[in-house]
Amino acid sequence: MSGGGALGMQSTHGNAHVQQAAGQSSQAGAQVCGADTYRRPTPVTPNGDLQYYNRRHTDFTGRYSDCADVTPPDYYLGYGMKYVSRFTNETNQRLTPEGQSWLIRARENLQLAIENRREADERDFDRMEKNNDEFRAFAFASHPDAYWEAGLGELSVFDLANIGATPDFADLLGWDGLAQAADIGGRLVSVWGTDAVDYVGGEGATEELVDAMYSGYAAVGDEIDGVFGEGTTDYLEEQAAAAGAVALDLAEDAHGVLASGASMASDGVDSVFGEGTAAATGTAVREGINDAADLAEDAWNWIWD
Amino acid sequence: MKRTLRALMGLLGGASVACAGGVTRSETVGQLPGDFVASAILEDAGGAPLLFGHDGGASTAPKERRAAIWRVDAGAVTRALAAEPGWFVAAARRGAQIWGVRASRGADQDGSRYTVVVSENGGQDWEARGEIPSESVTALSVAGDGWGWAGGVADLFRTTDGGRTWSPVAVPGSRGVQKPNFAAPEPGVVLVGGPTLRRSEDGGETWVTLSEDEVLATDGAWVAGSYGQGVRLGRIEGDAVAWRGELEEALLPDALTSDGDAVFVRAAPTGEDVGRYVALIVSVDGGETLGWEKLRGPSSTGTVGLGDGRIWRLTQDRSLKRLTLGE
Repeated sequence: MSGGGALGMQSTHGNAHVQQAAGQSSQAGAQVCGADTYRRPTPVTPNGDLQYYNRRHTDFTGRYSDCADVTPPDYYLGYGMKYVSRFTNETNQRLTPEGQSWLIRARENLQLAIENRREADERDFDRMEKNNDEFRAFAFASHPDAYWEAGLGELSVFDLANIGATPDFADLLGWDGLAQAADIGGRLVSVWGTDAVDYVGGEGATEELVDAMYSGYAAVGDEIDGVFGEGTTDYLEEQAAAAGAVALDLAEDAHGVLASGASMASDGVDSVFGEGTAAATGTAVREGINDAADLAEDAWNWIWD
Repeated sequence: MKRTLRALMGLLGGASVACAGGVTRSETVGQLPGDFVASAILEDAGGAPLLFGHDGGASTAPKERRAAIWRVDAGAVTRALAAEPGWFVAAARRGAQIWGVRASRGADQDGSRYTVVVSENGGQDWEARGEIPSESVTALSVAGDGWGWAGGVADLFRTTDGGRTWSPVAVPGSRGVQKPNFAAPEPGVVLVGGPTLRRSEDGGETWVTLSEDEVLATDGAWVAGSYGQGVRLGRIEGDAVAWRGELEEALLPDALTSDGDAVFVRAAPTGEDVGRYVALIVSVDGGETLGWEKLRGPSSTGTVGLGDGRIWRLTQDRSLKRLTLGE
């Protein structure tokens, strides 16, 4: 479609609907200013303060207080302030001290991204503020770098899990790319898979191995429940149940390997990880470890999906 | 979405262009510095990607940024141009001519300054040329024979001497709230999109309206515009746009390249998916049918480059990937 209705310049992708709504509710005497009108945006200090978003919103409404056809982007109050508030009021208390320091830096970076864009080209920033979708796209695109440059890659896996578990965060704010860059899945598996494999190597009996797989998930789940909240362990156990057939195969393989070597009978754990283990045995068991890790990773992915 | 694209390409059966099956392969070709922020990805004359942007990270204030052009060739990542204060905001290429617009801002400076840097030999050597006397520059197009166009929110500027001097050009009508988009397919000719599509064939003296409908991206031969809540492609035929196929997806076209009947459009999602990914829209049958695909990774459109039959993708960890399109 071409420019929208009386405004004559808005795409359906723009904020015409927002502006039309504003026009309907605007005070008498407000005029149609047009998209080409430029009012210079005022700097707002990006200090990480929650009020930053309110100030940016107010700056826009103040600049265009006499215009019926423009409204501020909904990002400021609908997204920026909303999610930073949620982070601060809900997630922050569940982060480690390192995670809390990260959050302070991340909040500043999120605001710096906006102020840097304004400072770099004030006219374009003013135009973009009038295009709701474009402003949101710009702001969301700035989030991954803001988090990353605040040191997200150095956070503990449980801080990462907690951040990623913040409602809507993963879905909205570029978590996919960040999780990949931070190798979150791999790091979690290194914690999680080892627990499961410890059970595997320590016992070696088929039934116990299957039980151990469940226990491994449950043990991890217990820890994760602390950051994810109640119910996550149930998810993990369901995932383990779904993987039961694979776990059984793994157990049988491991059992066969363990039973075939008398030297391994005395020390099952060493036979899995220790020195002196025959290369073939080591390979087979490492494959088992990899399978366990894959199962753990599947469960991880399942949680996020 | 990939299935849609593949089904589309399968229906066409062995289209001659290399894009026939959507993105089927992703190969890492180089690792950029972790603090590099991309604004544009082009190819040099030999097909090696050139990445324009700045070093120092996204959180760095404009006056502290260092403008950078990186070349990735055979796995080697090298500076194509020594780092200087500022940041690149736009880049364009025509043949061996590669131009970039470098913005800079001093500590005591009010507003940014825009300088054009030019390579005449496919990106090997660079020279700073003239300053564009504008408060805003976000787009650039090179036409050949010394002609080039640059523009931002308010103005369009023209050079006829290889970027040494720039003159403002008046374009009739509103510019709208969308990003400036224009294309210069040959010397003296420029097409300006926006709420309408206008063309000048005399260097901006007179204008013809080719479409009263919104055009969001053009390369001078094809256009992409919004259509309801979707996207449509059109071909420029004489003094009009012949609209072709439509795609009922909430996508906002951002850049377009074409090669005969094959059209590639970079787009950003709108509506509920805004800010979540960058999209690639492809048509290989003259715009009649359109397929599209989400490109996973950063949602900044500056991290996706449309090359000659290749798509370049800079990931969050700054690895550059070449996305292969094929069966």
